[in-house]
Amino acid sequence: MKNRKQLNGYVRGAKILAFSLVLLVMSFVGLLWFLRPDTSVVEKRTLTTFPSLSWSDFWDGTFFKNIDTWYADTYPMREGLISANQTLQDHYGIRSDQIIGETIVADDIPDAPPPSTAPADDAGIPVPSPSPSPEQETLEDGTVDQLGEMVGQIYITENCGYGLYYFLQDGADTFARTMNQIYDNVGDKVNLYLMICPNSAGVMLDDSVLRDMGCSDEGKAIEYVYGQLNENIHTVSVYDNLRAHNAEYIYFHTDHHWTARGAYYAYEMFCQEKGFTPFPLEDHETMEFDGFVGTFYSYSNQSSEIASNPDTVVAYIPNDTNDMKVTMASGETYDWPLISDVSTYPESEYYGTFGCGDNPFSVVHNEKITDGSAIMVVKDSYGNAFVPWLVDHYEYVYWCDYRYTSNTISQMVEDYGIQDVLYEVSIYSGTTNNVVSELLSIGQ
Amino acid sequence: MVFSSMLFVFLFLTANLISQVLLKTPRAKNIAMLVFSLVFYSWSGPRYLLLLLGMVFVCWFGALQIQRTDLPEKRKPIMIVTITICLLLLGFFKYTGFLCSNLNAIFGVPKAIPNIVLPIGISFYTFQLISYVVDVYRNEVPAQRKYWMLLLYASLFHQCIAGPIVRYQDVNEDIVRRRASIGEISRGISRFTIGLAKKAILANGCAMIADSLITVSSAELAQVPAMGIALGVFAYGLQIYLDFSAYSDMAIGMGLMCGFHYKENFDYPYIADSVADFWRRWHISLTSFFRDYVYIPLGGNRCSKSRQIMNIAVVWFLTGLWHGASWNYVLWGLFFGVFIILERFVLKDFITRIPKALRHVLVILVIYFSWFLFKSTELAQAGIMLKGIFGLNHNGFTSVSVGLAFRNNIFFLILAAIAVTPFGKTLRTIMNNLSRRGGALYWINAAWEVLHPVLLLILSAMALVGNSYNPFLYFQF
Repeated sequence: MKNRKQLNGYVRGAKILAFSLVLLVMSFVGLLWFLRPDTSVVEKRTLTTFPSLSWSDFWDGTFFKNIDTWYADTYPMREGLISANQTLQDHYGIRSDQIIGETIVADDIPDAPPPSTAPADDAGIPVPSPSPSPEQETLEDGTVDQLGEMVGQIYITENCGYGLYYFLQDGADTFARTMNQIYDNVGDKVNLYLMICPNSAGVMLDDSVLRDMGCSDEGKAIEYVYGQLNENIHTVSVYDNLRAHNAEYIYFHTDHHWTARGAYYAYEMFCQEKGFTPFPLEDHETMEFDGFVGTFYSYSNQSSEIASNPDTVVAYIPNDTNDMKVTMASGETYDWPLISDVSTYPESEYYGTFGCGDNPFSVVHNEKITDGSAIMVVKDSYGNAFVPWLVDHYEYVYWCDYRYTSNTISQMVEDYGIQDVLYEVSIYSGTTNNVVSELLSIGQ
Repeated sequence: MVFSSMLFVFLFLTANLISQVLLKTPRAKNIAMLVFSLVFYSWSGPRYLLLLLGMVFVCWFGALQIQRTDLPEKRKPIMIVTITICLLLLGFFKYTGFLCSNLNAIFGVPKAIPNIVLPIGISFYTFQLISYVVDVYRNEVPAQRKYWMLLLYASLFHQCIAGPIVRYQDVNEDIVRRRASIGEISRGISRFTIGLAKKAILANGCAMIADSLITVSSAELAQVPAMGIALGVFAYGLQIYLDFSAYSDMAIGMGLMCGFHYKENFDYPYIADSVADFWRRWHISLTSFFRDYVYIPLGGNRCSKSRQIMNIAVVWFLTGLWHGASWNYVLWGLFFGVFIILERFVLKDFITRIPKALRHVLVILVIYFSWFLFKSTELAQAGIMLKGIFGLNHNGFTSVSVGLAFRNNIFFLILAAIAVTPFGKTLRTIMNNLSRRGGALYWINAAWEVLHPVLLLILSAMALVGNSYNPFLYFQF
């Protein structure tokens, strides 16, 4: 009996020792400031920095709250711990299909007047000659009608992520008014084009799945915006062509962007609007990067379903040139390949092969064309995979990311003699009022 | 600062425990504990510390004056004045906005509704100090002569901001002289890590499910199908118990590690077989506070039936109001008051005749529907939810997102549902009994005993790192 009592005492002692040891080690690790990460590759963000002290922040507790956030956000081994937690959460239930994020209620999309894509004769803008439509009737239907494993802002099914879209009329109306204002500002100087790019959910998922999740019809939402625009703005409707090719690899499974192939089908529609003949996809050399795990991985808090289905980034090199000049946010300018080798980058950065990522200003000079033709693409990150397709059509292709640039179209016309301006935005930007100030500041 | 944060567990608590181990004299331990407690409280903004210091001073001074005389005609006014000051301060910070908005709705004045920030933990430490003053008045406990010792009692970080509402007479001895035995430290470690995991893993997980279905926006809530409301409220019912009882577990566990003995605050309320039983098991320190300092002084059960009903109504009105300055909380309290009155005066014979299992189901239903009021930010939302669960919002029975929320979390929800029952405790008792037979069973049990705190600590750290979703429901009280 005494022996058992003694043993129980040892067990309690071992328990206290084990707990104290783990607590001490983890506390000690937390103090090792030099081990604290300052960026997260997975989440593509700079982690919280130690807060600076001010009297008001000290007095109302903000300073201390920020220390709390900093401590947890930069704790050494954080990504490993988060990943382990996600693995645990994968066993919370049957997760072949999921929805992630909060419920959003979309507005009904009103019936818009028919979109006006034909420019008025008196605007002095050449009427494009129609180019052949893609042969949609022969294409395979790749619509995904499975229920996914994540629903909400992101829907995951069959190890593929889809960013969901909910139409909000106020945002769509504001965006349309902004584009009309931009036309009023610069419409007499350039041909103004607008391309709103649908996301993978709108293109890839079956209507019934979208309906069940309360999502909006992206094609209808885009046409609603287009229907409110000044008729002299050239609208590029890409939704139907993408939807017709949805059996192909046109959106990434692990990332919210389209693939270069998806961008190609948007390019086809731009050519149709512009009167160009698109160059065949197969006539381009490619670079491939396997193992790409994009933004859905971090958005889903490192879903193992997403991680298990990495993408291959296929980038098509323009026929005429692959050289560009890029001006970084710091103001420094570099010569860089338009399609660059990113195989040494972290796998989550492979989308950066297109145009060196998001930058304030970039340009490609195609020396094989000498007609002085120039286009300016005002874009978000969807434009990165799209811009390379334009290179073989213009002597100069300029592009700027509206989130980072301080350029204006009027200045660009003066400095570079651009004739065409294409606003290319994702559907999130193209039907919200979040980015109108940035778009307007460029459209001066 | 909250217990379920990386900074608290892996810096503050560690430093606090080290200080308690290294310091030898009770005085040194208490000074260190006070410093830690004041830092902990100031973490939410030092400006609130002044209020805490002031209120403690009023109660310290008041209690000393009460003790100084034996004359009831002097003692009582001092006690009333002291308590009134505390209640006025609580009322000012917690209920001014509520009062003004009601006056505005009725009389149109005042035009501007003041937006007063609620100091963290004010409801808890105010009640603790009131209990101290009343207990001194009742000669149940001697007044504390040292201000800083009373400040330590009120500000003790284990329970200052989230309960339980610890009475001075329960910890007075521990403050003066305390010693934690190996057995108590061992129990404290288990209790703390179970509480931490309960909060970081189970309660936060349930909160994510509940909040994805029961949205803050009324417009969005009106779109949720019936099963979405049902599942959301179910998850919320689990969350609120796991969340609040987890904080009590952590408080009790940390107390044991340092030699403090706090009373239990929860006793598996979801196994109650009557509404009165539920409240004997839920937030016991609050229920007993209202019983001892409101219900019994009003006459308790030793008065006419109509007076008893009035006493119960007052207590449950105050219970609701304590939980929040909003009519939905008041109605939530009165909702329970009505059922307690029905149980005691109308359905007493009927209840004793029906099988216990059925009684239990009926109580669960009453509790379930009470969460409609508690979860709502305004009364209209409770109405939307109530209509929604019966399909009167015309959103159908279920939807893809509701079905997926259920399927994606089914094992987790089963685990959380088991965690609110005494299943774990029973299993532990069985394991302990079996281990007495010796052999492999003893060593399996011993291994579990040694390893489970470490396992729970690591799992909790995994859940807390980078997890921005870490709400604490009772923080506002």
